[in-house]
Amino acid sequence: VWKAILTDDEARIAPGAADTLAGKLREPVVRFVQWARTVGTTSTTGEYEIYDLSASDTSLGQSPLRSPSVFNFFRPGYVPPNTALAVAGKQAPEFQILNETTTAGYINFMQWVTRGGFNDVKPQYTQLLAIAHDVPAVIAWLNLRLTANQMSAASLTTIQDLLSAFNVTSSSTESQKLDMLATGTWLMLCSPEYLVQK
Amino acid sequence: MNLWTRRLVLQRAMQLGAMGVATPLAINLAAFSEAAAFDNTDYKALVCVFLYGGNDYANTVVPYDATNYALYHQIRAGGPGELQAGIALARADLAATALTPNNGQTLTDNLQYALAPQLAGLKGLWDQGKLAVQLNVGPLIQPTSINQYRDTNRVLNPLPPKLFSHNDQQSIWQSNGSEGSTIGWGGRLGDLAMSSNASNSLLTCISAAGNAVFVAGNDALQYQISPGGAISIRGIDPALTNWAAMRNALNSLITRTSTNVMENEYAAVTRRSIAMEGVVNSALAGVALSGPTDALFGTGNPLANQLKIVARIIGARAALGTRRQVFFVSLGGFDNHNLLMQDHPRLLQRINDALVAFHAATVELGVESKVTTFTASDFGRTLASNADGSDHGWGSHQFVMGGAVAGGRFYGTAPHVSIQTDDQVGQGRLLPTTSVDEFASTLALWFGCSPTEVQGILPNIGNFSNTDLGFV
Repeated sequence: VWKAILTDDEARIAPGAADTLAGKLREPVVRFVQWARTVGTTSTTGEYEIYDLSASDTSLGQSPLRSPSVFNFFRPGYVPPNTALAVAGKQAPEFQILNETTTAGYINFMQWVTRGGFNDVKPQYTQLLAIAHDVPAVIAWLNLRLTANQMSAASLTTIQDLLSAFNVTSSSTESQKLDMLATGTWLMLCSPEYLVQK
Repeated sequence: MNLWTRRLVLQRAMQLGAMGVATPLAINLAAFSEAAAFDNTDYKALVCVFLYGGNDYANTVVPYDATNYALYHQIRAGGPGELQAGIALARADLAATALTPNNGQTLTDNLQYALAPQLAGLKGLWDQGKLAVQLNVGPLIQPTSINQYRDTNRVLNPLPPKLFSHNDQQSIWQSNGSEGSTIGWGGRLGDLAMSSNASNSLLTCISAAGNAVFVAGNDALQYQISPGGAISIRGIDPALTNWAAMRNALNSLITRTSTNVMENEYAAVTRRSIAMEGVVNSALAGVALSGPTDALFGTGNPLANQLKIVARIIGARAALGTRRQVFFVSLGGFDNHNLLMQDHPRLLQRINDALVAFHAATVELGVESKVTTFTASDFGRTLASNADGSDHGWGSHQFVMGGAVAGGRFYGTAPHVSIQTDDQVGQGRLLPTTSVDEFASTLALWFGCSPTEVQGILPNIGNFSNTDLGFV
């Protein structure tokens, strides 16, 4: 079995740029945790009070250890109907919890969390604060860590233009810097180019 | 298929012949106009209430007459007397919800049924003729006897794939195919009905319960709504984000097309979410249920919350220009292998409260006869007890509710209360005597499908003689 897994084409050969079906959708919880670990978070009380994130309209729509049934959050055989994936006959399990409600709920949730944290869990952005006056450096830092430098030039420009408009300098207050850093992080986390891991 | 079509044409020809030459042309045309039924100007909605996990049929629609109750009580390990024990309900607790069919009805072994005590509200709807019970319905490829079930020649005697498996039977009930299938029969109805919904054809197939293949069609997309309505993205809402550059940056990032298929499909969902949010929420703003009806939905009942938003969308039909809609709602937790006597009654109470509230809302909205609601579930369960619950089965009993329903009656064939008879495949797992296709066909015909269209939606329906069970 190990031999079969390790020698499978998908394991040995990185998908080329021409493979338009490559990648997998990151799960909401994985995105949330990746954000928390990337920017650094600490608990003000030591409790890490992150409880139920299941609400799909106001939260992540996925919460660890709270899958709706013994069949977890999505099924391995799920094929998203009415999509090019269905036409190609490809499974995309994580798409089972993506819909008009969860896409909006996630964007709203992350907007709130990236700046304010969750209960006692507060983001630090320590490394980013040091380079906050240098927008291209901030973008490069985030792009490397969140998307393995796979974000398109057009999207990077969109984010960079907006962050530049914050006019943050090295003498800006920490709050001003955090506004800009949280916005940049959030925008990248909302982009499908980040959401689909390649 | 060709054969069936030819038969249909012959039937039509005979009907016309029987009408004779004196029949006005208008009536002849009406007989042929079924294909255009969806162009009607009225409103109709079909609501699927899916009970995830496999509902325990025997403690939902319960044998009540003394003889059959005794069999039920014994098989469910109830011990002596007629008291609640094992996984059997007490007979005295069923008295208030015993069902009397209108115009009389003699069932197998002179069975009389009662609803579970928690379903008192549904009993009231039964008495009003608004609720029917479809007995022993489940997935079948063709009518199947116990000998055909036991036969090993699956070419001659095909069975639905992966019986007794949750995920597959959920999928088969919803779409005729095991897990991974992408087109449900609710979605196929939506394909036919989309054009009736003018500019809001995206609101043809709606799920208030997450993604479900039932409401996915070839062309009809499943639109997902939350109990609170459509969710607005705050970062692009001018009322909440007044910095235009910020709104534009976010909007451009989350909606842009991509050569990567997954990125593109993700952005498509977001674009749809944005496009429909304003339309849906402004239409919903004009719909308010009266205080007493609103109170019936209660708080903390997830099924009631879903049905309430469905009622409100139906209430907004004029503003939205919708004429034909298929809805999907669900309640989970029915896989009661353990603690059946503790957990199942709570679930039934939720079903009762939610359906009663939803029916009241349709009455208030003036669409009682335009909305038909039905239950479905992965499968029924065993009649026999596993000591603390029941295990995966096949056929089950389902409810059909609405003003158009010929209620207060049982449909289909009542199974013997037995773990030995030929209408079960062991431990009281019911061998369905009515197929999901026949059940679905009946609903589809009411919804406005022509018999030929039904054939396209339910590929196996041609194997069954009964395409209209008559409950609606």
